[in-house]
Amino acid sequence: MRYHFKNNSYICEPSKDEYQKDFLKRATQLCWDRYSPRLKKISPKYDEVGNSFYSLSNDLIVASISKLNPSNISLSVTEDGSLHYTIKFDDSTLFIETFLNLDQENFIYFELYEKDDKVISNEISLGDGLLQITQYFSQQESRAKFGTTFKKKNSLECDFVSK
Amino acid sequence: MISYPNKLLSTEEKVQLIDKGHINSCQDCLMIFWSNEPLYTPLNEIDPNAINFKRLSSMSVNYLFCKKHKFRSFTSQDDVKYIIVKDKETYTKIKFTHDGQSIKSVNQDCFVFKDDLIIFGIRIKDFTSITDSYPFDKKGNYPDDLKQVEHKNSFSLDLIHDPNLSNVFHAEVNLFGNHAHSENKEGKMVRIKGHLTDKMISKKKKRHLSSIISKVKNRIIQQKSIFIVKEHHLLEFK
Repeated sequence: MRYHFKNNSYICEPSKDEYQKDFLKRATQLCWDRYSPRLKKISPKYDEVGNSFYSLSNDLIVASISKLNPSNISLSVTEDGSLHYTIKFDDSTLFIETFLNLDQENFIYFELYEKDDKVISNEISLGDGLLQITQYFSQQESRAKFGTTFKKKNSLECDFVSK
Repeated sequence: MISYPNKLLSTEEKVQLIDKGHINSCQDCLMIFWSNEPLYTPLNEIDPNAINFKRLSSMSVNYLFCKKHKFRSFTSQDDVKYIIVKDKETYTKIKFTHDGQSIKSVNQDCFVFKDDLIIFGIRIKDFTSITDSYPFDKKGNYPDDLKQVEHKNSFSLDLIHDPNLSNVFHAEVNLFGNHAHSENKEGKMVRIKGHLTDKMISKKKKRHLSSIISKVKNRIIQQKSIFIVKEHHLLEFK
């Protein structure tokens, strides 16, 4: 779409990534607010470790996943001390689960299902896991071409064209 | 006033229905259990807490027979809403083995009926067919020696009929795994118990247990095996 503003002309395209990132952030925050009190029930220490992990990791997860055209995301916190993401795509589901450890590194598990087939199942660091998933998805050419799931756009990216 | 249902009181005849009806291998019979919290998250996905490890290991469930069985009316989704609150030692801790133990009723002040509980169900076949390896494969920036430390083991789930005096259709989920440890040096398939949030749990055991529960949760969510049991499930079983 072409816009004119203060005698300048712009071609504007909706930014799908930004819309998705915003949606994913709000969705995960909603879930976190609802379920994180479960950690307090285990112990104050779990609550502290969980809050700190969520603060550090959620933006990273959202930023990586938003580029992959997810159709939905959900986060839960379980009474056995884990943060569990369910991320849906057109034909696949990604699970990222982190079991909190109070005095050692957390255990982070990635599982990716394509329909009913498990195609990835690893214990891996968050950064490496997200990279592996991104690389896997980038190989699925059709997903990049046809995977648009968010119809509503709420932000614009504009390139200056002319005066 | 709601009375405790007589159909739940144990007799040898009722105990035998589970074996006679081959309930554990039936395609549509359910295991049911209650929850205070909704099954779905605000984003309309299954809340994995419905199947956390605390629940999975030694979880108490009830049988809910499907319509294929003539004796299906012996069970209903409300069976797990009768909560024994007094004299638990008598009513729920004694394993029922013979008619000599049968009781005529449960005292009115020893139970409550909690109508507001949400009832979850899983087809027994769907549940007991879940098996996989553990722990997870290590990928990424782990040193090679760490990647090779742990051997691959396998786990399985079973549903064990466990009738007590007040609940003839009570069953317990048992989890089995074959990792070797001090009490299982040969690595046989043995029952696994424990708590992930136990302060004294070893790193190795926590890695094993968390791997198993993560895989079970994901499988159940992926296959949508867990659902809320309502009246229509009884009438329109798939």
